[in-house]
Amino acid sequence: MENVINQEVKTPIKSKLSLRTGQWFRLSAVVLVFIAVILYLALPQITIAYQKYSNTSTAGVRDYSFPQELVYGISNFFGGGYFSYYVKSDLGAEVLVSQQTNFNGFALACVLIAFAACGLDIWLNFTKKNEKWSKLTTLLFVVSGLMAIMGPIWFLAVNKFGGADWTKATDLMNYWKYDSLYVHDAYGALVSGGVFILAAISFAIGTGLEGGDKNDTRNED
Amino acid sequence: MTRATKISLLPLAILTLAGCSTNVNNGIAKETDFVALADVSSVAISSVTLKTKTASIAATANSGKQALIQEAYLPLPQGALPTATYSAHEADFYTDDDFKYATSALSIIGHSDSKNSSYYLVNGLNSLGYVYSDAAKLASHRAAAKKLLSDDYAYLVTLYNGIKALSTKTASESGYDKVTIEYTNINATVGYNCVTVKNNGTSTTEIRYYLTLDKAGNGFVFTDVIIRQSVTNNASGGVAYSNAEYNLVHGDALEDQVFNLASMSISMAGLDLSTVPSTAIDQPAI
Repeated sequence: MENVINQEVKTPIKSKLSLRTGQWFRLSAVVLVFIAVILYLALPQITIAYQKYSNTSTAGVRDYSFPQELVYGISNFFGGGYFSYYVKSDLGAEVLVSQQTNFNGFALACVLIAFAACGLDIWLNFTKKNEKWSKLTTLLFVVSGLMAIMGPIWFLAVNKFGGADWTKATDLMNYWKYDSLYVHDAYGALVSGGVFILAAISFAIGTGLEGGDKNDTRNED
Repeated sequence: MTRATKISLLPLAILTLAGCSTNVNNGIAKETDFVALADVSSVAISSVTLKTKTASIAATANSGKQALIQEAYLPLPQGALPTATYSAHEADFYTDDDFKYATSALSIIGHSDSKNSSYYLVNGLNSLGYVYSDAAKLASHRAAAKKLLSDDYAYLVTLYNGIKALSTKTASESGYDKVTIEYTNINATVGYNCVTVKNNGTSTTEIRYYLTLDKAGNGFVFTDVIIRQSVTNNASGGVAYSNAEYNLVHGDALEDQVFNLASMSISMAGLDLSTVPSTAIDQPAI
Protein backbone atom coordinates (compact mmCIF):
# COMPACT_ATOMS: atom_id res chain seq x y z
CA MET A 1 0.00 0.00 0.00
CA GLU A 2 2.81 2.32 0.91
CA ASN A 3 4.48 1.72 -2.46
CA VAL A 4 1.29 2.54 -4.25
CA ILE A 5 1.00 5.86 -2.43
CA ASN A 6 4.59 6.72 -3.32
CA GLN A 7 3.97 5.99 -6.94
CA GLU A 8 0.89 8.17 -6.97
CA VAL A 9 2.82 11.06 -5.53
CA LYS A 10 5.96 10.77 -7.67
CA THR A 11 4.38 10.18 -11.04
CA PRO A 12 2.81 13.62 -11.57
CA ILE A 13 6.03 15.40 -10.47
CA LYS A 14 8.09 13.40 -12.90
CA SER A 15 5.75 14.28 -15.73
CA LYS A 16 5.95 17.99 -14.93
CA LEU A 17 9.73 17.96 -15.15
CA SER A 18 9.68 16.12 -18.38
CA LEU A 19 11.36 18.65 -20.62
CA ARG A 20 13.15 18.07 -23.84
CA THR A 21 16.91 18.69 -24.01
CA GLY A 22 16.35 21.83 -26.08
CA GLN A 23 14.02 23.23 -23.45
CA TRP A 24 16.58 22.56 -20.74
CA PHE A 25 19.18 24.44 -22.74
CA ARG A 26 16.85 27.37 -23.19
CA LEU A 27 15.93 27.49 -19.52
CA SER A 28 19.60 27.30 -18.57
CA ALA A 29 19.99 30.62 -20.41
CA VAL A 30 17.70 32.21 -17.81
CA VAL A 31 19.82 30.83 -14.99
CA LEU A 32 22.95 32.06 -16.71
CA VAL A 33 21.48 35.55 -17.05
CA PHE A 34 20.75 35.72 -13.34
CA ILE A 35 24.31 34.63 -12.62
CA ALA A 36 25.56 37.22 -15.10
CA VAL A 37 23.53 39.97 -13.40
CA ILE A 38 24.94 39.02 -9.99
CA LEU A 39 28.44 39.10 -11.46
CA TYR A 40 27.63 42.37 -13.20
CA LEU A 41 26.80 43.98 -9.87
CA ALA A 42 29.38 42.29 -7.71
CA LEU A 43 32.56 42.23 -9.74
CA PRO A 44 34.67 45.21 -10.89
CA GLN A 45 33.36 46.54 -14.16
CA ILE A 46 35.66 49.47 -14.81
CA THR A 47 39.41 49.71 -14.53
CA ILE A 48 40.91 53.16 -14.24
CA ALA A 49 44.51 53.15 -15.26
CA TYR A 50 47.00 55.83 -16.16
CA GLN A 51 49.11 54.65 -18.99
CA LYS A 52 51.52 56.13 -21.42
CA TYR A 53 49.29 55.28 -24.34
CA SER A 54 46.37 57.27 -22.99
CA ASN A 55 45.80 59.98 -25.54
CA THR A 56 44.25 62.24 -22.94
CA SER A 57 46.99 61.71 -20.41
CA THR A 58 49.32 64.44 -19.38
CA ALA A 59 51.91 61.67 -19.48
CA GLY A 60 53.49 62.90 -16.31
CA VAL A 61 55.24 61.15 -13.48
CA ARG A 62 52.06 61.44 -11.45
CA ASP A 63 50.04 59.46 -13.95
CA TYR A 64 52.49 56.60 -14.02
CA SER A 65 52.62 56.36 -10.27
CA PHE A 66 48.85 56.23 -9.92
CA PRO A 67 47.77 52.73 -8.90
CA GLN A 68 45.16 50.87 -10.90
CA GLU A 69 41.68 51.62 -9.60
CA LEU A 70 38.67 49.34 -9.91
CA VAL A 71 35.06 50.53 -9.96
CA TYR A 72 32.77 47.77 -8.75
CA GLY A 73 29.49 46.92 -10.40
CA ILE A 74 27.31 48.27 -7.62
CA SER A 75 29.05 51.63 -7.72
CA ASN A 76 28.98 51.63 -11.52
CA PHE A 77 25.26 50.74 -11.58
CA PHE A 78 23.69 52.67 -8.71
CA GLY A 79 26.23 55.47 -8.35
CA GLY A 80 27.33 56.91 -5.04
CA GLY A 81 30.82 55.47 -5.21
CA TYR A 82 33.96 57.42 -5.99
CA PHE A 83 36.71 57.36 -8.54
CA SER A 84 39.82 59.48 -8.83
CA TYR A 85 42.03 60.99 -11.48
CA TYR A 86 44.38 63.84 -12.17
CA VAL A 87 43.37 66.95 -14.04
CA LYS A 88 45.58 69.73 -15.25
CA SER A 89 44.42 73.30 -15.56
CA ASP A 90 45.54 75.66 -18.27
CA LEU A 91 47.63 77.53 -15.71
CA GLY A 92 49.67 74.41 -15.08
CA ALA A 93 48.58 73.04 -11.72
CA GLU A 94 47.80 69.33 -11.75
CA VAL A 95 45.53 68.14 -8.98
CA LEU A 96 44.28 64.81 -7.74
CA VAL A 97 40.49 64.88 -7.55
CA SER A 98 37.78 62.42 -6.67
CA GLN A 99 34.36 62.31 -8.26
CA GLN A 100 31.16 60.60 -7.20
CA THR A 101 29.72 58.13 -9.67
CA ASN A 102 26.23 58.76 -11.04
CA PHE A 103 23.41 56.31 -11.54
CA ASN A 104 24.11 54.43 -14.75
CA GLY A 105 21.01 54.20 -16.92
CA PHE A 106 22.91 52.20 -19.52
CA ALA A 107 23.72 49.53 -16.93
CA LEU A 108 20.04 49.40 -16.01
CA ALA A 109 19.18 49.04 -19.69
CA CYS A 110 21.67 46.19 -19.97
CA VAL A 111 19.97 44.32 -17.12
CA LEU A 112 16.45 45.11 -18.39
CA ILE A 113 17.33 43.86 -21.87
CA ALA A 114 18.69 40.66 -20.34
CA PHE A 115 15.52 40.21 -18.26
CA ALA A 116 13.38 40.90 -21.34
CA ALA A 117 15.32 38.16 -23.13
CA CYS A 118 14.65 35.86 -20.16
CA GLY A 119 10.92 36.64 -20.37
CA LEU A 120 10.89 35.86 -24.07
CA ASP A 121 12.94 32.72 -23.40
CA ILE A 122 10.40 31.36 -20.90
CA TRP A 123 7.48 32.42 -23.06
CA LEU A 124 8.95 30.70 -26.13
CA ASN A 125 9.82 27.61 -24.16
CA PHE A 126 6.27 26.92 -23.08
CA THR A 127 4.19 28.26 -25.93
CA LYS A 128 3.58 27.26 -29.50
CA LYS A 129 4.01 28.95 -32.87
CA ASN A 130 6.13 31.82 -31.57
CA GLU A 131 9.54 30.61 -32.63
CA LYS A 132 10.03 33.57 -34.94
CA TRP A 133 10.79 35.53 -31.75
CA SER A 134 13.75 33.28 -30.97
CA LYS A 135 16.08 35.33 -33.17
CA LEU A 136 15.16 38.49 -31.31
CA THR A 137 15.64 36.68 -27.99
CA THR A 138 19.11 35.54 -28.97
CA LEU A 139 19.90 39.03 -30.15
CA LEU A 140 18.80 40.53 -26.83
CA PHE A 141 21.04 38.13 -24.90
CA VAL A 142 23.96 39.13 -27.12
CA VAL A 143 23.14 42.83 -26.81
CA SER A 144 23.12 42.65 -23.02
CA GLY A 145 26.49 40.91 -23.15
CA LEU A 146 27.94 43.54 -25.45
CA MET A 147 26.54 46.31 -23.27
CA ALA A 148 28.28 44.80 -20.25
CA ILE A 149 31.56 44.69 -22.14
CA MET A 150 31.05 48.28 -23.36
CA GLY A 151 30.77 49.46 -19.74
CA PRO A 152 33.63 52.00 -19.89
CA ILE A 153 31.81 53.96 -22.60
CA TRP A 154 28.65 54.18 -20.52
CA PHE A 155 30.70 54.98 -17.44
CA LEU A 156 32.29 58.01 -19.09
CA ALA A 157 28.97 59.14 -20.53
CA VAL A 158 26.89 59.01 -17.35
CA ASN A 159 29.60 60.60 -15.26
CA LYS A 160 29.81 63.45 -17.77
CA PHE A 161 33.49 63.01 -18.02
CA GLY A 162 35.19 65.33 -20.44
CA GLY A 163 31.93 67.10 -21.22
CA ALA A 164 31.59 70.22 -23.32
CA ASP A 165 32.06 72.52 -20.32
CA TRP A 166 35.56 71.11 -19.85
CA THR A 167 36.73 72.93 -22.93
CA LYS A 168 34.70 76.10 -22.50
CA ALA A 169 37.48 78.49 -21.62
CA THR A 170 35.16 81.18 -20.32
CA ASP A 171 33.75 78.85 -17.67
CA LEU A 172 36.74 78.77 -15.37
CA MET A 173 34.98 76.62 -12.80
CA ASN A 174 34.88 73.62 -15.09
CA TYR A 175 37.68 74.24 -17.57
CA TRP A 176 40.48 71.68 -17.61
CA LYS A 177 43.26 71.37 -20.10
CA TYR A 178 44.04 67.68 -19.70
CA ASP A 179 42.69 64.77 -17.76
CA SER A 180 44.54 61.59 -17.01
CA LEU A 181 41.58 59.24 -16.87
CA TYR A 182 41.96 56.13 -18.95
CA VAL A 183 39.25 53.56 -18.47
CA HIS A 184 38.90 50.07 -19.81
CA ASP A 185 37.11 46.87 -18.94
CA ALA A 186 37.76 45.33 -15.58
CA TYR A 187 37.78 41.54 -15.44
CA GLY A 188 34.20 41.60 -14.10
CA ALA A 189 32.93 43.19 -17.31
CA LEU A 190 34.52 40.46 -19.39
CA VAL A 191 33.24 37.73 -17.08
CA SER A 192 29.66 39.02 -16.80
CA GLY A 193 29.56 39.94 -20.49
CA GLY A 194 30.86 36.47 -21.30
CA VAL A 195 28.14 34.84 -19.20
CA PHE A 196 25.48 36.93 -20.99
CA ILE A 197 26.92 35.72 -24.30
CA LEU A 198 26.99 32.18 -22.93
CA ALA A 199 23.29 32.54 -22.19
CA ALA A 200 22.76 33.55 -25.81
CA ILE A 201 24.70 30.50 -26.99
CA SER A 202 22.79 28.24 -24.64
CA PHE A 203 19.49 29.65 -25.88
CA ALA A 204 20.59 29.29 -29.49
CA ILE A 205 21.60 25.67 -28.95
CA GLY A 206 18.28 25.01 -27.26
CA THR A 207 16.44 26.65 -30.13
CA GLY A 208 18.40 24.53 -32.58
CA LEU A 209 17.57 21.37 -30.70
CA GLU A 210 13.95 22.42 -30.65
CA GLY A 211 14.03 22.73 -34.40
CA GLY A 212 14.27 26.49 -34.65
CA ASP A 213 11.54 28.69 -36.01
CA LYS A 214 10.86 26.21 -38.84
CA ASN A 215 9.30 23.88 -36.31
CA ASP A 216 6.63 26.04 -34.78
CA THR A 217 4.24 23.15 -34.66
CA ARG A 218 6.49 20.89 -32.60
CA ASN A 219 4.38 21.27 -29.49
CA GLU A 220 1.07 20.65 -31.21
CA ASP A 221 1.48 16.89 -31.07
CA MET B 1 25.68 21.63 3.69
CA THR B 2 22.77 21.22 1.30
CA ARG B 3 22.96 22.08 -2.35
CA ALA B 4 20.54 24.96 -1.82
CA THR B 5 22.75 26.40 0.91
CA LYS B 6 25.80 26.15 -1.32
CA ILE B 7 23.98 27.86 -4.14
CA SER B 8 22.77 30.65 -1.86
CA LEU B 9 26.31 31.15 -0.58
CA LEU B 10 27.64 31.77 -4.08
CA PRO B 11 26.24 35.30 -4.51
CA LEU B 12 27.17 36.04 -0.91
CA ALA B 13 30.75 35.08 -1.62
CA ILE B 14 30.76 37.21 -4.75
CA LEU B 15 29.34 40.19 -2.88
CA THR B 16 32.00 39.72 -0.21
CA LEU B 17 34.59 39.79 -2.97
CA ALA B 18 33.00 42.99 -4.23
CA GLY B 19 33.60 44.57 -0.85
CA CYS B 20 37.32 44.17 -1.20
CA SER B 21 38.91 47.56 -1.55
CA THR B 22 41.36 48.64 -4.20
CA ASN B 23 44.55 50.47 -3.45
CA VAL B 24 42.87 53.83 -4.07
CA ASN B 25 41.03 55.20 -1.08
CA ASN B 26 38.48 57.89 -1.84
CA GLY B 27 35.14 59.22 -0.70
CA ILE B 28 33.69 61.86 1.59
CA ALA B 29 36.50 63.17 3.73
CA LYS B 30 36.29 62.75 7.48
CA GLU B 31 38.64 64.47 9.88
CA THR B 32 40.70 61.29 10.15
CA ASP B 33 41.27 61.31 6.38
CA PHE B 34 43.39 64.44 6.63
CA VAL B 35 47.09 63.63 6.68
CA ALA B 36 49.75 65.18 8.88
CA LEU B 37 51.61 68.07 7.27
CA ALA B 38 55.38 67.93 7.13
CA ASP B 39 57.58 70.29 9.02
CA VAL B 40 58.47 72.73 6.24
CA SER B 41 62.04 73.03 7.47
CA SER B 42 62.52 69.34 6.72
CA VAL B 43 61.69 69.82 3.03
CA ALA B 44 63.67 71.65 0.37
CA ILE B 45 61.04 73.77 -1.35
CA SER B 46 62.71 75.11 -4.45
CA SER B 47 59.83 77.01 -6.00
CA VAL B 48 56.46 78.50 -5.26
CA THR B 49 54.27 79.93 -7.98
CA LEU B 50 50.89 81.60 -7.74
CA LYS B 51 49.06 82.26 -10.97
CA THR B 52 45.70 83.93 -11.30
CA LYS B 53 43.12 84.18 -14.00
CA THR B 54 39.75 85.84 -14.29
CA ALA B 55 36.88 85.64 -16.73
CA SER B 56 33.24 86.55 -16.82
CA ILE B 57 30.08 85.54 -18.56
CA ALA B 58 27.65 88.39 -19.09
CA ALA B 59 24.04 88.15 -18.05
CA THR B 60 21.59 87.04 -20.70
CA ALA B 61 20.55 89.87 -23.01
CA ASN B 62 16.91 89.74 -22.00
CA SER B 63 17.58 90.01 -18.29
CA GLY B 64 17.69 93.79 -18.64
CA LYS B 65 20.00 94.37 -15.69
CA GLN B 66 23.49 93.33 -16.73
CA ALA B 67 24.81 93.75 -13.21
CA LEU B 68 28.05 92.00 -13.98
CA ILE B 69 30.49 91.61 -11.17
CA GLN B 70 33.96 92.39 -12.39
CA GLU B 71 36.20 92.35 -9.33
CA ALA B 72 39.38 90.53 -10.18
CA TYR B 73 40.06 88.97 -6.82
CA LEU B 74 37.03 88.60 -4.69
CA PRO B 75 37.35 87.94 -1.00
CA LEU B 76 35.88 84.70 0.20
CA PRO B 77 32.41 84.95 1.72
CA GLN B 78 31.75 84.60 5.40
CA GLY B 79 32.41 81.14 6.71
CA ALA B 80 35.08 79.06 8.31
CA LEU B 81 37.75 79.30 5.63
CA PRO B 82 40.35 82.07 5.62
CA THR B 83 39.98 85.16 3.48
CA ALA B 84 42.68 85.83 0.91
CA THR B 85 43.56 88.16 -1.91
CA TYR B 86 45.45 86.45 -4.67
CA SER B 87 48.15 88.29 -6.58
CA ALA B 88 50.32 86.42 -9.04
CA HIS B 89 53.95 85.88 -8.09
CA GLU B 90 56.77 83.37 -8.23
CA ALA B 91 59.79 82.64 -6.04
CA ASP B 92 62.56 80.13 -6.82
CA PHE B 93 65.38 79.05 -4.55
CA TYR B 94 68.73 77.45 -5.34
CA THR B 95 71.94 76.35 -3.69
CA ASP B 96 74.25 79.01 -2.23
CA ASP B 97 71.15 80.95 -1.20
CA ASP B 98 70.60 82.04 -4.79
CA PHE B 99 67.08 83.06 -5.63
CA LYS B 100 64.72 84.49 -8.19
CA TYR B 101 61.36 86.06 -7.59
CA ALA B 102 58.77 87.99 -9.49
CA THR B 103 55.59 89.83 -8.67
CA SER B 104 53.31 91.92 -10.82
CA ALA B 105 55.65 94.89 -10.18
CA LEU B 106 59.17 93.50 -10.37
CA SER B 107 61.40 90.57 -11.19
CA ILE B 108 64.68 90.02 -9.37
CA ILE B 109 67.44 87.48 -9.77
CA GLY B 110 69.99 87.08 -6.99
CA HIS B 111 73.15 85.11 -7.63
CA SER B 112 76.25 84.53 -5.52
CA ASP B 113 79.72 83.78 -6.77
CA SER B 114 81.19 83.43 -3.33
CA LYS B 115 84.45 82.00 -4.65
CA ASN B 116 85.18 85.34 -6.30
CA SER B 117 83.26 87.41 -3.76
CA SER B 118 80.91 88.61 -6.48
CA TYR B 119 77.21 88.97 -5.82
CA TYR B 120 74.76 89.79 -8.57
CA LEU B 121 71.38 91.46 -8.46
CA VAL B 122 69.63 91.46 -11.84
CA ASN B 123 66.35 92.95 -12.93
CA GLY B 124 64.66 90.03 -14.63
CA LEU B 125 62.44 92.30 -16.72
CA ASN B 126 65.32 93.87 -18.71
CA SER B 127 68.32 91.71 -17.72
CA LEU B 128 70.14 94.75 -16.34
CA GLY B 129 71.95 94.31 -13.08
CA TYR B 130 74.79 95.08 -10.74
CA VAL B 131 77.63 93.11 -9.28
CA TYR B 132 78.63 93.72 -5.68
CA SER B 133 81.40 92.53 -3.46
CA ASP B 134 79.07 92.71 -0.48
CA ALA B 135 76.80 89.71 0.02
CA ALA B 136 74.49 91.75 2.21
CA LYS B 137 73.27 93.63 -0.87
CA LEU B 138 71.20 90.57 -1.76
CA ALA B 139 69.74 90.07 1.70
CA SER B 140 66.66 92.27 1.49
CA HIS B 141 65.55 90.78 -1.84
CA ARG B 142 66.26 87.26 -0.64
CA ALA B 143 64.11 87.99 2.39
CA ALA B 144 61.34 89.26 0.13
CA ALA B 145 61.49 86.05 -1.91
CA LYS B 146 61.40 83.87 1.18
CA LYS B 147 58.48 85.89 2.53
CA LEU B 148 56.48 85.04 -0.58
CA LEU B 149 57.08 81.37 0.12
CA SER B 150 56.42 81.56 3.84
CA ASP B 151 53.26 83.64 3.37
CA ASP B 152 51.92 81.30 0.70
CA TYR B 153 52.70 78.22 2.72
CA ALA B 154 51.19 79.69 5.86
CA TYR B 155 48.02 80.52 3.95
CA LEU B 156 47.83 77.00 2.51
CA VAL B 157 48.27 75.49 5.96
CA THR B 158 45.51 77.72 7.31
CA LEU B 159 43.31 76.77 4.40
CA TYR B 160 44.05 73.07 4.90
CA ASN B 161 43.24 73.26 8.59
CA GLY B 162 40.09 75.22 7.81
CA ILE B 163 38.88 72.54 5.40
CA LYS B 164 39.81 69.87 7.93
CA ALA B 165 37.74 71.68 10.56
CA LEU B 166 34.84 71.94 8.08
CA SER B 167 34.81 68.16 7.73
CA THR B 168 33.51 67.91 11.29
CA LYS B 169 30.66 70.39 10.78
CA THR B 170 27.36 70.52 9.01
CA ALA B 171 26.86 73.14 6.31
CA SER B 172 24.78 75.33 8.63
CA GLU B 173 27.39 75.10 11.39
CA SER B 174 30.09 76.19 8.98
CA GLY B 175 28.25 79.26 7.71
CA TYR B 176 27.78 77.98 4.15
CA ASP B 177 24.68 76.83 2.36
CA LYS B 178 26.47 73.76 1.07
CA VAL B 179 29.80 72.13 1.81
CA THR B 180 31.22 69.00 0.19
CA ILE B 181 34.67 67.64 0.96
CA GLU B 182 36.03 64.62 -0.88
CA TYR B 183 39.43 63.01 -0.76
CA THR B 184 41.69 60.55 -2.55
CA ASN B 185 44.60 58.83 -0.88
CA ILE B 186 47.07 56.84 -2.96
CA ASN B 187 49.67 56.61 -0.21
CA ALA B 188 52.37 58.86 -1.63
CA THR B 189 49.86 61.48 -2.73
CA VAL B 190 46.61 62.76 -1.27
CA GLY B 191 44.06 65.01 -2.91
CA TYR B 192 41.18 66.93 -1.40
CA ASN B 193 38.44 68.74 -3.21
CA CYS B 194 36.15 70.98 -1.22
CA VAL B 195 33.14 72.87 -2.56
CA THR B 196 31.43 75.64 -0.63
CA VAL B 197 28.33 77.52 -1.73
CA LYS B 198 26.99 80.67 -0.11
CA ASN B 199 24.02 82.76 -1.18
CA ASN B 200 23.90 86.18 0.48
CA GLY B 201 20.70 87.26 -1.25
CA THR B 202 22.19 89.33 -4.05
CA SER B 203 24.79 86.88 -5.29
CA THR B 204 25.75 83.24 -4.96
CA THR B 205 29.39 82.43 -4.43
CA GLU B 206 30.73 78.99 -5.15
CA ILE B 207 34.32 78.18 -4.36
CA ARG B 208 36.06 74.94 -5.24
CA TYR B 209 39.34 74.10 -3.56
CA TYR B 210 41.59 71.40 -4.99
CA LEU B 211 44.53 70.55 -2.75
CA THR B 212 47.14 67.99 -3.74
CA LEU B 213 49.88 67.03 -1.32
CA ASP B 214 52.83 64.72 -1.78
CA LYS B 215 54.73 62.81 0.84
CA ALA B 216 57.95 64.59 1.74
CA GLY B 217 60.08 64.95 4.82
CA ASN B 218 58.19 63.80 7.87
CA GLY B 219 54.70 64.23 6.41
CA PHE B 220 52.93 65.70 3.41
CA VAL B 221 53.71 68.94 1.59
CA PHE B 222 51.45 70.95 -0.72
CA THR B 223 52.33 70.52 -4.37
CA ASP B 224 49.40 71.87 -6.36
CA VAL B 225 46.47 73.88 -5.08
CA ILE B 226 43.70 75.31 -7.22
CA ILE B 227 41.06 77.71 -5.94
CA ARG B 228 38.21 78.40 -8.32
CA GLN B 229 35.55 80.91 -7.47
CA SER B 230 32.40 81.92 -9.28
CA VAL B 231 30.10 84.72 -8.19
CA THR B 232 26.72 84.66 -9.84
CA ASN B 233 24.53 87.72 -9.67
CA ASN B 234 21.18 86.39 -8.52
CA ALA B 235 19.26 89.07 -10.39
CA SER B 236 21.03 89.21 -13.73
CA GLY B 237 22.62 85.77 -13.96
CA GLY B 238 26.01 87.25 -14.83
CA VAL B 239 28.94 85.23 -13.55
CA ALA B 240 32.43 86.37 -12.62
CA TYR B 241 35.19 83.82 -12.25
CA SER B 242 38.45 84.09 -10.34
CA ASN B 243 41.05 81.36 -10.32
CA ALA B 244 44.16 81.11 -8.21
CA GLU B 245 46.65 78.29 -8.57
CA TYR B 246 49.62 77.46 -6.39
CA ASN B 247 52.40 75.20 -7.51
CA LEU B 248 55.22 74.23 -5.16
CA VAL B 249 58.27 72.27 -6.22
CA HIS B 250 60.04 70.37 -3.51
CA GLY B 251 62.60 67.64 -3.24
CA ASP B 252 65.47 66.36 -1.17
CA ALA B 253 67.86 69.16 -2.12
CA LEU B 254 68.01 72.44 -3.97
CA GLU B 255 69.63 72.70 -7.38
CA ASP B 256 72.28 75.08 -8.67
CA GLN B 257 71.01 78.23 -10.31
CA VAL B 258 71.59 78.60 -14.03
CA PHE B 259 73.03 82.10 -14.29
CA ASN B 260 73.94 83.09 -17.82
CA LEU B 261 76.01 86.27 -17.63
CA ALA B 262 76.32 86.46 -21.42
CA SER B 263 72.63 87.29 -21.71
CA MET B 264 72.81 90.16 -19.18
CA SER B 265 74.18 93.65 -18.94
CA ILE B 266 75.96 93.92 -15.63
CA SER B 267 77.31 97.17 -14.19
CA MET B 268 79.98 97.21 -11.56
CA ALA B 269 78.22 99.58 -9.25
CA GLY B 270 79.26 98.84 -5.74
CA LEU B 271 82.25 96.78 -6.77
CA ASP B 272 85.39 97.43 -4.78
CA LEU B 273 87.56 99.59 -7.06
CA SER B 274 90.72 97.81 -6.03
CA THR B 275 89.48 94.74 -7.86
CA VAL B 276 88.79 96.60 -11.11
CA PRO B 277 91.55 96.14 -13.73
CA SER B 278 93.58 99.27 -14.28
CA THR B 279 93.49 98.87 -18.04
CA ALA B 280 90.74 97.80 -20.33
CA ILE B 281 90.88 94.24 -21.48
CA ASP B 282 90.63 94.01 -25.22
CA GLN B 283 89.15 91.08 -26.91
CA PRO B 284 92.05 88.97 -28.19
CA ALA B 285 92.52 88.77 -31.93
CA ILE B 286 91.47 85.51 -33.45
